Amino acid sequence: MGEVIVITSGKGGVGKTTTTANIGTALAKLNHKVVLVDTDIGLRNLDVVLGLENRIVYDIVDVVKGNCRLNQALIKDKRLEGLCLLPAAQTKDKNAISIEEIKKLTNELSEIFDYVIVDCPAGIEQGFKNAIAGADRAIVVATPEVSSVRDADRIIGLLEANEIKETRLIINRLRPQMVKQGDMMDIDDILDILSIKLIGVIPEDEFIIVSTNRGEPAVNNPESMAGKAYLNTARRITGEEDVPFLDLEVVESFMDKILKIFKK
Amino acid sequence: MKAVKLKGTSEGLYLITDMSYDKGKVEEDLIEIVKEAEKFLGSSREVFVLLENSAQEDDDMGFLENLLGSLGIKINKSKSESFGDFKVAQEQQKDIYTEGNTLLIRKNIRSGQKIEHIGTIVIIGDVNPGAEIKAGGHVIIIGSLKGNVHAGASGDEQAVIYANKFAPNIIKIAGLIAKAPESEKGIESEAEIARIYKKHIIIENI
Repeated sequence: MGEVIVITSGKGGVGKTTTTANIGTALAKLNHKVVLVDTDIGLRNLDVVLGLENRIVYDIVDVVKGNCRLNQALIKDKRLEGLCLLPAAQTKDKNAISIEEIKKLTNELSEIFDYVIVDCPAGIEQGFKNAIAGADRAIVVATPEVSSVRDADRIIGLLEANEIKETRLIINRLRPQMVKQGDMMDIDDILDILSIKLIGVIPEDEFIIVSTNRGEPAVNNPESMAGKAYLNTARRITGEEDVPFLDLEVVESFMDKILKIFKK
Repeated sequence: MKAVKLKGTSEGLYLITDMSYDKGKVEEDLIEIVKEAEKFLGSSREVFVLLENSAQEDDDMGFLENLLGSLGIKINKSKSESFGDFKVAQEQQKDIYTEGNTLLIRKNIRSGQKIEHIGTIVIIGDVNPGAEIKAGGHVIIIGSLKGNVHAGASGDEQAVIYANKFAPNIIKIAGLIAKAPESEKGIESEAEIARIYKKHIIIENI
């Protein structure tokens, strides 16, 4: 019996889909069977980030409505054994599936896969309620901005009310240089407000933009700092203890180097 | 001994009715308690009903529905259940419980959450920005206060608001309202207490 993990944030644009794609890929790299479920019906893009959009025939709505078998809708990633995607429908809306249907679906998937990672849409309406319905655990993604942290706080409250037993935090797009200068909230500020356990810190990395456009998750690139951070986060998700947080000073000195080059 | 009790929880107001008393006594106590809580009920005017010692729950619920209806109060049926279940649910949920007239909460109150209670509220944890606390009595926060608080909501001008780190956006005591001064942003907040003095809300170090 696998685990269902929902990746959510409340606020849009903080990196839920990128996080889902990278965590999923990283878990598959660690030899787990993983399925990524896109519940952002009507605004799907997890398939694009994974580079699988050309292979969609059936989608999640077809599965729950019985238009096709589950196996027909699952898209296997050819680059990585053990990674599958269940894409969202693009021509329907969030009300196309109900909470009961998604519970049944995630339950079915958790019997086949080790990890069912659900990509949640932004907001707290029907789409959010659907996405968290079958989840055992939740990962909240927040960026070091007041608005994102406020929304994350709201989301954590809603997750608590829905009796999700374990909620963890990923801080995304952290810029160590800005934190050092006092221009960005630091990790302690965020943890002080949200008071939940941290499972990953992902530094801001330009390579993410490149990888999103190419449809190649950053964890596949050993040079990418964000990719490394996602890989570490995935190891923590599997229950591996003592995975050190990336020494972000390294990132700084790397950035410093670039800055120095420009100054020359 | 009253036949009717009003209890506040994080979900809303519970009206606990002991049906072992005769209906005349229930009616009398109910009208009295609603009158007392009038200001506290505010505009929502919705309660959960819990029946104690009820032989015929459907009949008794109908009786209360009519009675409350005549007072302009609706019954929220989604959570109305027998008192036994309520007690069990409260015991399972140990981070929220009532002690006499006081609601004790041992967790953080997050953005979008609202806690209402007719007596005093004690929170061991933080009240985050966007959270709302409304109490008939005092509000004591052993943690930091960054949300909105209304103490003495039923008109009690003796009510106070205390927090270990006092940095709310808006506070209300009885009918008075106070807003955080805008210039104070960024100043380290400390343990402070808010109370009414000569028809104004004052905030002082403890």
